[in-house]
Amino acid sequence: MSDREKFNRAVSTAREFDPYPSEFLDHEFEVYDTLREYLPVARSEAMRSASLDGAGGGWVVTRYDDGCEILKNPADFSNQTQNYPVRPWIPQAVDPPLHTSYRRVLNPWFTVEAMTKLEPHLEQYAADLVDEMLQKDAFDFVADFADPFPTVIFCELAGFPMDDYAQIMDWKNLIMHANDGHPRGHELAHAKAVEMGLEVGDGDRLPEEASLAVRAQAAQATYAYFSELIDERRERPKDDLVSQLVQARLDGERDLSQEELEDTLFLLFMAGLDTVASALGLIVQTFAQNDAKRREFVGLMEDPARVGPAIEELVRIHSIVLLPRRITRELSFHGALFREEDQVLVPTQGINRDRDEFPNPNEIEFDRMPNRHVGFGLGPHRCLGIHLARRELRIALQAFHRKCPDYSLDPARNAVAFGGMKGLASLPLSKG
Amino acid sequence: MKVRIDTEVCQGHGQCVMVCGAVFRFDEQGFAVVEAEEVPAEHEDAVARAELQCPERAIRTER
Repeated sequence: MSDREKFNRAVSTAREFDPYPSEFLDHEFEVYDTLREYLPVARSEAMRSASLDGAGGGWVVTRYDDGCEILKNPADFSNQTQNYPVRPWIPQAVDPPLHTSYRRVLNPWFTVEAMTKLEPHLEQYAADLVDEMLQKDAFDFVADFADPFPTVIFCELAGFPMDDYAQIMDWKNLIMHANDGHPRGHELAHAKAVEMGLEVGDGDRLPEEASLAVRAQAAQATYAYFSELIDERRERPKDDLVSQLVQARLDGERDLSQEELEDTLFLLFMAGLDTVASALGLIVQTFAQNDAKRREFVGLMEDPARVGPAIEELVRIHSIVLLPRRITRELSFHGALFREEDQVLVPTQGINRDRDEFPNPNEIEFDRMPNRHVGFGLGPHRCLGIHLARRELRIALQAFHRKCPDYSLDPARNAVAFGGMKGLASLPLSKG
Repeated sequence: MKVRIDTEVCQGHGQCVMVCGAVFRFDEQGFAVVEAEEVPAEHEDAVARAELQCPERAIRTER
């Protein structure tokens, strides 16, 4: 192929770029590599589901330096996007300086010290779940471990009653996975759309209007649930995040309003339920297909000096988060003209495989140094739960591999992936 | 060697604390701080690695 042909191919790759359907995953890194080489600041007309108002199109950047520049500049690249059902989430959808005030309330609960206190409980729960899972000959790593482990821990931490676990998971699956290839999310969304009398079409995906309506309805139900929970904890405080949030003072000056409390819980809920589960599924899928890398990890995972950097490298290689930003003023960005109110997407997956920053970007190098990956984001919106996520990943991978150092993909049952904030809905494995 | 953290830039990823917990620690908000600007000789290599490792580029060393 001539350079001209390669460039033309990149232009159509850009135009059709949409990371939300699960089919995108079949060639995602090829797409990011093509864009990075030929159109590092690219315009997509297809990036439709990025925005809840259904408006199409937006920019996508794939160079590490460009992504970092955007994430570190909240004045020009705002987090106040339209991507939120009902109301924006706090603090994710708020810009500094107000964002800083909210983070000051939340930060102390997610410090290394606070998370270290949780470690014995995390270790015990991980070991118990692994034992239960391994009683079966063929097991599903995602359904039996990766989904419940971080979710249950998070519900305990936040103070969501465990009796409501199934309902909470259904709302999460509706809001996050109505239309991204997640079988449970799609099943729930389809049923709800029929119940609401919406046009559901006959394809694998719901029409955008139905998907948006179903997500908004589930979000409303979740808000109503949080509202009751907040009232309950205001009356009878417990040792959990909801109770502490109710008592928190913003800038030491005022209580959080009922809406602020609900919007904060909503963010914690969305950020806490899927992310570690998704990363765990993708990491173990890679290990199931790569005996040498898995054995290398098992060989170093008990070494406190090496396991931390190894987890960072696994987060780099399996970054899952797509970070949309709203452009606040017309500006020229590395040759592209960004218009006010346009959207630009920073896909951490693409940024974290830029060879200019990470030599051999597609190789897992457990001792990679430096490793300035942006898997937990960058700038003021850096993942609040970073220290919880790191601990959960380490403890989960240690607990699993201590009991089951050798495994492979189950030849009879395929893994099921979903797109967007990608992950696995199912990962059947066989021992040995 | 001297080391400083730009507190406007640090976002509390904690990479420096992982690389060299003897020199870097977290404050109560989870951002990194150094106890003393002067780096003990035995920690100079680790502090140099921490500077390189910081994703926000918030660490500055001077020799």
